[in-house]
Order: sequence, then structure tokens, then C-alpha cells
Amino acid sequence: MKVSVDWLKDFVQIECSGDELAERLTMVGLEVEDVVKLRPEFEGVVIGRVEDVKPHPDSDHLKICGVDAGDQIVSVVCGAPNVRKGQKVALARVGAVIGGNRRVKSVPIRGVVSEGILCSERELGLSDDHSGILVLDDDGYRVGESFNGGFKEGEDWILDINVTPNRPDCLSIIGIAREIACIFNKELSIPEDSVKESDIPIESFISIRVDDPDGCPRYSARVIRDVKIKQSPFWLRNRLESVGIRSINNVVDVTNYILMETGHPLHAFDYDLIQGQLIVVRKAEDQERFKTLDGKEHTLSKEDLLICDGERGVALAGIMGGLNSEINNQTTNIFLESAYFDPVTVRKTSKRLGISTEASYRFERGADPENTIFAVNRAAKLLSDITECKVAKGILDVNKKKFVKRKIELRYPRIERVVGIEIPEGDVKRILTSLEIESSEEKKESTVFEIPSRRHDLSKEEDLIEEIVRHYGYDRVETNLHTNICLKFFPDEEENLLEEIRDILVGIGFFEVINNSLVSKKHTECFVSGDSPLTIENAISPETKYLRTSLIPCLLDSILWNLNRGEKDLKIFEIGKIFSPKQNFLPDEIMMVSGALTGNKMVKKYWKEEEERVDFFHAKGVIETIIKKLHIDDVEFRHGGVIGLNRDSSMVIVSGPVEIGNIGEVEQAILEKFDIETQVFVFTINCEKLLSRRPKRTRYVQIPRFPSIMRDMAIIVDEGIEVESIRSFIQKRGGKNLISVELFDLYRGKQIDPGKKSLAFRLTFMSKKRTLKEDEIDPIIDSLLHQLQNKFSAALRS
Amino acid sequence: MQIDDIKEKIEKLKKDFNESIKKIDDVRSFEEVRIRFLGRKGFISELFKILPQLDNETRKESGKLINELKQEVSLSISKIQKKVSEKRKEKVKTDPTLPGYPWPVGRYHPITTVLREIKRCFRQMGFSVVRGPEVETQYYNFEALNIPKDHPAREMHDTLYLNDDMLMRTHTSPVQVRVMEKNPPPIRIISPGRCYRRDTPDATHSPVFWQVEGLCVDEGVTFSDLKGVIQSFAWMMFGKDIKIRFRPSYFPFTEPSAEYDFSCMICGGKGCRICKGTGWIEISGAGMVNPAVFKYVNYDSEKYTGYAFGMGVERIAMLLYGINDIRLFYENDVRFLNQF
Repeated sequence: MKVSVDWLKDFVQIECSGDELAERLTMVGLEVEDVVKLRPEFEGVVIGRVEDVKPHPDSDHLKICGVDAGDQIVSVVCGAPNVRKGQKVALARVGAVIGGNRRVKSVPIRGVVSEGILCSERELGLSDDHSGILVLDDDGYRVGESFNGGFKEGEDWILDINVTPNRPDCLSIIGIAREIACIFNKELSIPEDSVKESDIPIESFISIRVDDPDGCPRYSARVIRDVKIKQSPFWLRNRLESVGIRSINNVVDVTNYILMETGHPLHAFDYDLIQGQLIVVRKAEDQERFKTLDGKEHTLSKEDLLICDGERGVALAGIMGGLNSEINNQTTNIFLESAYFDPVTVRKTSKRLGISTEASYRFERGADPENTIFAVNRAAKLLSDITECKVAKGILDVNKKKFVKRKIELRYPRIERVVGIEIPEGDVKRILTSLEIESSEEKKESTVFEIPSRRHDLSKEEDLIEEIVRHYGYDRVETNLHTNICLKFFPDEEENLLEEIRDILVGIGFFEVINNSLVSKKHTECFVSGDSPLTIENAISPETKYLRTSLIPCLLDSILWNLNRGEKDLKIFEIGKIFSPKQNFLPDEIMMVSGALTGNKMVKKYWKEEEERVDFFHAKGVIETIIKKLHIDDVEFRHGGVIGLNRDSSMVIVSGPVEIGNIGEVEQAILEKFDIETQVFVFTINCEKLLSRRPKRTRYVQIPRFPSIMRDMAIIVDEGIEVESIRSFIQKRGGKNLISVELFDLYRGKQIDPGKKSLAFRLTFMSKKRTLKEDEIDPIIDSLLHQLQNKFSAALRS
Repeated sequence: MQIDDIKEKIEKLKKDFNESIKKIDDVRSFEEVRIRFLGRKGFISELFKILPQLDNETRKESGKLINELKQEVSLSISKIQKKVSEKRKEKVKTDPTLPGYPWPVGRYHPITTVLREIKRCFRQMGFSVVRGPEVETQYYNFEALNIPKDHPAREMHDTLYLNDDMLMRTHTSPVQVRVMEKNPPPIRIISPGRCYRRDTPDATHSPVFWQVEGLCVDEGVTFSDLKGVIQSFAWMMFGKDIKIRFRPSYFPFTEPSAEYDFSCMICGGKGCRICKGTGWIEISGAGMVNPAVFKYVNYDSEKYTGYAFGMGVERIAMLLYGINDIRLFYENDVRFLNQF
């Protein structure tokens, strides 16, 4: 909310600069987001009166005006359409400066010398209005007096304050002034609200019926007659402009001015458009249609509160008036509403219809139910100050749910228990009194305070404590570096596992990426089947409408992003959750690790090595590295048609009975969907399942005391036979001393028949009890070769 | 020929060979010796050719002896060959300016790095790390944090909904409630994690972001303690010159509430572009746990007090590394990631 320091000074003495004031307000919780210093962009402009308007001999639209400048009559050529005899105007005579740096000179205009300029608001830098000259008839200026442009002290500051939702009382100049009074220990001066009334009582014009006291606990109103609708005086327009409100006409401006001043929203109706001399506050009918004054038609529901006359709706309560009863140029009599509406009712309607106004913004945060009379009186007084009118006698005030002031007991020792320092009782009382929170009962070590009706945010002791500390100063609360700590701790093994996996992957050269978990439909379909994904109801775009079901599509996005930027050799991974729906419960959130590899193995070619493309085995090796690091010994890779991965090569990773992940190459068709034109290999691990297979702690096993014997064995088999089947066969049949069987060479080509391959295995034998002899091994090897021959038609390679 | 003659020939050859190898000083002389003794027409081959002329007994013994000789010579030759070829290699000097082997260098995402640092700081201060779900109910995300339905405070959170009850958590504060529900005081935890808001991405907003929430509940915990923890964190994270500033603010789940700022780490508090001339950098919110929240988890607010605080991980990363656009964190450009 924008406030003008000049305006604030109507209510409280301010002796510091706008910058310092901003700082002080920020430090009591009214964060000032922007400070703008305003100075007049003119100098030497005086008030003149147009005494004489004559046509220009050489122009249709120019006029020659004789302007009384106090000391003499000045002749000014003026092209403004609104110049009239008798007007008070802002006159820039020769020598004056306008528009920041334009010095006014005596110049002939079409042959007639002009000795000055009658200024528009734009020429004075006061607004963008250049439709005519600035007319100052209603501002109490005297001819010849220097014109200050509303800058009473030569300058003004506009503060943009971020008022938190709990402080609707600060959505007003007086509200902010009250805080300032507390900060600087000054008096707040509340303006006069006594109104000169005419003799005819309001009851003879209108009556009010509130059918829904829950939605409208209080409805106050005045009737003002014989008003002439016109432009507001300059000072009023200028003040509204300064806080960002557009001037409309005197009546609407007055309601807006009082809204800004008191924080209480008012609405002015054209009395003569109200039918049946009656106002009814009721809930709308279902499907009732209503056109707001912005010309938009709305369909209402039974929850919406509607202000009606004898026949129809005339305003959406607390939100916006109706087009049918709006103030217009023909308006002469007005009905001025000053009500207190239930915050939740206003908020629901405002939200559902998508209308937010200055009024609804305040009502839904909580206006002051005790402020309706003050506000309507201020408005009536202001209107009669600026324009001729008759205020009908009396106020209608339907107050069906009387507001009861809350009482809060504040125990002084409690302040120290919450804040950590002692705040003297004197300071406590001074602060609360300054905020008009009055003590109503003194007890031993505590005081009962009465909360003003504007402070909906104060409902318990802690709320009062906050009031006290924020004005006492958060910076005066000691920063305690000696504290007792609680040694209870919450173990999180999965978190530790994730960090370990991260370290392993980064250690072998992977880049960690982080993607949004909200993705497009396409992203949810490629790598899973079955349940439809979880959907965001109010997503901003279809690109972020679904909760991801696999990390891989996001990795493909990251790959594409980098490919498009010339980075072709990528090894990336992400650790994050995927989501799967669960009936009537929060969804399953499954922590996953996925990685993707593409391009060359090395980002840069090494001079000693040939370039090598990544392939399936690099992906497989990642998994092997992780499980080895984590000491998960019983992992098997099984053929598995993993969705989205090439059928031939994709494998699932199994440990005991648990499937912990999968690896493979992304299917061509999917790569095309992601606009990727190169091979991508991926791996995925389900962290929860991996964790379940991880040994809690490894046990030390004695280091072997006896040497091992190694034997190499090369066999030739049919191409179609899988290495693992042979390897595991050897492992199984090699006796208890065979501790490992590893493939160390695979050869096809010269010396090997087509359709065959040569496999070389290294077998390691070792006994825990004794040193093995070479000649014990020979028969084992012979037997193995024999069995391999029978089982796989394997031939020994000589 | 008799066996003794053969023996004599062998002895002579041995002597001859031992003399010859002494003279080897380069590849050429080595090759010459090798061919002379082991070549197809070399002395040893010649010796084998004698065998067929011998009688059975002698041939058998001679064969064995010649074979032994051959093995002995071959062994010597191969040893010498190694030496000679090493000598030859020495002549090609190693160029140590060639690039070293490029062992792979992976990278942690900067969010991870900063998150780890934050966790380290708070673990040092005795906090445990606790995680919670990213999809939450209205109850945990709002209600139990004293943000009732139809309250304007909900406007502080632009929320993504899955249905009337389920939503993407807008902060990690729901974990507070979950932890307190299951554990009696004392509590001393932080809870890091992803959060979501209905924001269109721009330089300072991301629809997904990381937050760390802190909570401490015990007897005698005060606002003064909260300031201490935040001050200590500021020192650990940004250096020992960093000052802190608490300003009153509003969060429905804390009372009193504060925003906390750090003195600008770029200009040292003098005022610069980063701190918009104020000397202070806004970090996040904090405050004393609102007794209304304690009511939801059945904590006795007469006995226990607590503080809570939050912080945005990206915000801290941006300050630490001088990153000026939050979207960079989620583009995963390797040229970006490679810098951390």
C-alpha cells in the first residue's frame, strides 16, 4: 500500500526524513518496499484568476486571456479547451520554471505575445493530465499567492508498504500513523467527524433491513442530497493520485479518500436509482444474475451476500457496486453505505467470482466493525467541505451482532519466557497504550488488556507479546549463543544411502541434475504403464500438470538441452522422488536414482587412447560399481522387458527376492519423442529397495592366509550362448575352492569360425585351510572342460 | 663321436657365448650374437644336427644336454634383449608436459552442495535432519499451521492442488507438525526438501524450489535463542563478519514472527546493488512457534516454548555463488554445473 508522508502528517508529527521513517516502519513490521521522494518540478508558479477570455485573431482554438497575477494583469495566450473567465489557475509567468527545467519566456504566439503559461497538471509534473489547464477554484488559494502543487513542505515522500495479511488496520493512513505515533512516542490526532446536518431525518428517505446478520453484522448509512457531481478539488485529486488512486468525481473520490484515510470501505449509491426507498442485505438466490459497475455480469450463488433495494440487487456486498445504481453525472442524491461484512463471506465471493477490489481486500482481512460511523461521518463532512450538499439528519445503523471486545491477560514473566529478555513494565504499558490497547484490570504480575475492534489479529497472550517486542525492538533482544541443546536424534538411513550414492556417481564422473517433479503427459507415459499419473488440478501449464512417474524423461530433457548447446558427451544423474497414486491416501513417494549416458566415454579425447562411445556396459558398470561399494553381494542381472528400453538388452537388477532397478538403452521411438538423435543408455535404482538389501554393517572376515592359484581357460562356443550362463556354470561346478570365475577376454574373428566366439575365463582357487597344490587343480580343470563340452558343446581353444 | 666330445663342444660354446655377450653394447651387436648362437644356422642348431649321427644312448644324453644349453642361452638372450631395448627406450625422452590422464570429474548440483553445507551447520548445532512427503494434505500444509481455510494468509502461498484435500506442499513446515505429532518434546530438527508454488518461472521465482525448515521445542526456549542459532548459522555459512537483523513480520504459525536479514556479504553492509543499497540481504522468516500450532499436536504451551525458522536453499546458493537467475538451477546446463 502506498502512503504519502504529507498525508500522514495530518495525524501525527513526523520529524525525520522519509528514508528514516521507512527504516523505522520496517523495523516494527511494516516493511517499506520502496521510498520515492517527490519534489515539485516547477518554480515561481503563482495563483492567477482569469479575468478576461478573448478569441485569438489568428486562430480558432487559441484564446487571449487576461490573468490577474495579484500585482498586475498578465496577457497569456492559451489553447486549453477548459479555460473560462473567473477560474483560479496556476500561472507560470516569464521567468518561472516548469516541467523540471523549462524557463518560461515572453514569446509571440501567432503574432500575439504571451507573458506566461496557464499550466496543465502535466506541465507542472503533477500528473499525466494534459486535457486542459489545472483549475484551482475549490482549493482556497488566493490570487497572487505562490502555488505549491500540494507540496505543503516543498517535498513529499511516498512509501510503498507491504502490509501483512494480519494487519488490515494498517491498510490506512490513520493505521500507519498510529504505528508511527507509537514508534516516536507522539500523540495520534484523530480528525474531526462532526457533520452539519439538515433538518430532514434520514428515516424519511430510506430504511434498511439486514436479513443476514452473520454476513453483515453491521450496516450504517447516511443520505446526502442536492450534490452536484463534478471534479474534485486539486488537493484531493492530488492526494489520491499520490497513493495511486485515479480520480473519478467528487463523490467517488470522497469515498476513496476516506477508504484510504480510515481503512474503511464505503460505497455511494445514486439514491434516486434505489427502488422502494429500501435497502435489504440478503444472500443471493442461486443463479441470480448481477452486473457490477465495471459492466461485467456475474452469476451468483446462495453463498454470496447481496445488497438489494426494494426489487433487485444493487451491490455485491463489500466487493463492488452495481451498474444499476452507480454514481453518474446526473446524480443529485446519494445513499452512502458504511458497513462491516463478514471476512469469510466476502473472501469466498471475491475468490469465486475473481474480483478483487480495494474494498474486498480490506473486508476479507477484517475491517473495523466499530469504525462504520466514523467513516461515514468523515465522508459526509469531507463532501460538504468540498461541495455544496445537504446531509440528511441522522445515521441509519443496523447493528445486529454487537461487537464484544476481547480481553487478554498478559502475565509479565511470560514475556521473558518467550522472548528471553525482561522488558520493563513501563515500556510494556507505554507501547500497548500507544496502540490503544488499554488495560482494564490490574492483577498481581499481570494485566488484563482490552483489544480494540480493529485488531482481529490479537487473540492471545503471545499476540500481545509480539506487539510489545516489535515496538520494543527485535534488535534489543539479546542474541543468545549459550544454549541447551537436545541430544535426541532422528536417524535417517535412506538419507545416508542417498548421499553415498551421490558420492559414488560424482566420483566416477557423473554430473548431478535437478529437475522439476511436475511434468507433461508425455513424461509420464514413456517408462511406466498402468495407473494414470497424479494430476495437478490448477496447473499453470500442461507442461507441469503431472507428477512424474520416472526420472528418465527429465534426464532426456536435460540431455536435449545440452545437446542443443553443443555438449554431446554426457553422464548425468538425478536423485528424486517419483509418485504413484494410492486410493484415499497420500500417494506413494518413491525415492529413485536414475542416470543417463550418451556420446563419448570421455568428454575430451585423451592422446594415448582411442575415442570410445558409451554403451550398455558403461551403464551396467555403474550399477555394478554401486552395489560393490555398498557390499550387496547377491545381485543378479536378469533379462526383462523394461518399458521404454530396448527389449534385447534391457535388464532388471535383482537382489534376493527384490527387484532394485533396471538398465538399458532408451527405445528409438521414445528418443524421437524427445527430439534426441543419439543413443542414450540409462539406469535406475529404487533407493528404498536398495536400502532393504544393504547389509547393516559388514563383518570382518579374516584375510586369506594361504596363497591362491589362478588358471586361465579359453573355450570356443556358439555365438548364441550367453556368457553368464557359462560363467555361473563354471562357478557352480568348480568345487568349493573355486572362489571366483571372471571373463577376461572375448574374441571373434581370425582363427575362430563364424558363428562362434572365444571366451577366456580366469579361475581363482583358494582354500581357507591350506596351500593348494598345482596338481590338485588339473583334474578340476579337465573335468570342467569335459562338462562344458557336454553342456555347451564348448571346445578348448588351443 | 663320444659323449665327452659333445660335452667339450658344449663347454666351448658356453665359453664362447659368455665372451660374446660381454661385447654386446647395442641392438646391432645383440642381434649379431643372437643369430650366431640361436639363429636357424646358428651354433646351437648346428649342434643339434650332429644328433642323428650318434648312437641311441649318446643321442639321448646329448639331446638333453644341448636342450639345456639352448634353454640357458635363450634365457640369457632374453634378459639381454630386455636390457638392450630399455637402453634404446631411454634415448626417447619422456615429455612430461603431455596432458595427464583425465580421471573423470563429476559434479554435485550446487543445490546439493549448499544443502549439505546447511545440514552440516545445523548438525553441528545439534539438529537432526528429518524429511517428509512432498504431496501433503490441507491439514498439514495449512490447518495445523494455523492457516485456516478462507484465510487471506493462504494468499501468501500460491498452491498447486491435486484435489480438494491434497496439494503440493508449499513449504517444508508441515514436517514440523508431523514430527511433533509423533514425538514428545524436546525436538531439535531441520527438514530440507522440495516445495512447490503456482508460480510462472522468472529470474527470482521457480515453481519448484528447496527449503530448509528448522524447529526447536523444549522448556525455556526463547526468541533470544533463535537469534543465537541464526547468528551462528550466518557465521558458519558466510563468515565471521556477518551480522544478523530480525524484523517483525507475520507467519500464522509463529508468534512473534520475524524476517531475518544478513548483513550484505558482497559490500560488507555499506550498501551495493545486491542489497539495493540497504546493507542487508533478506534471507527468510522465523519466529516462536504459535501456541495455536502446539494445540494441534497436544503440546502444553505453558510448559514448552519453541522456535521455528525457514530458509530458501536457492537463495543462499545464489548469494554464495553470485548466481542471478533461479532458473539456472533447473536447466541443468553442464556448463553451469561444471562451475561448482
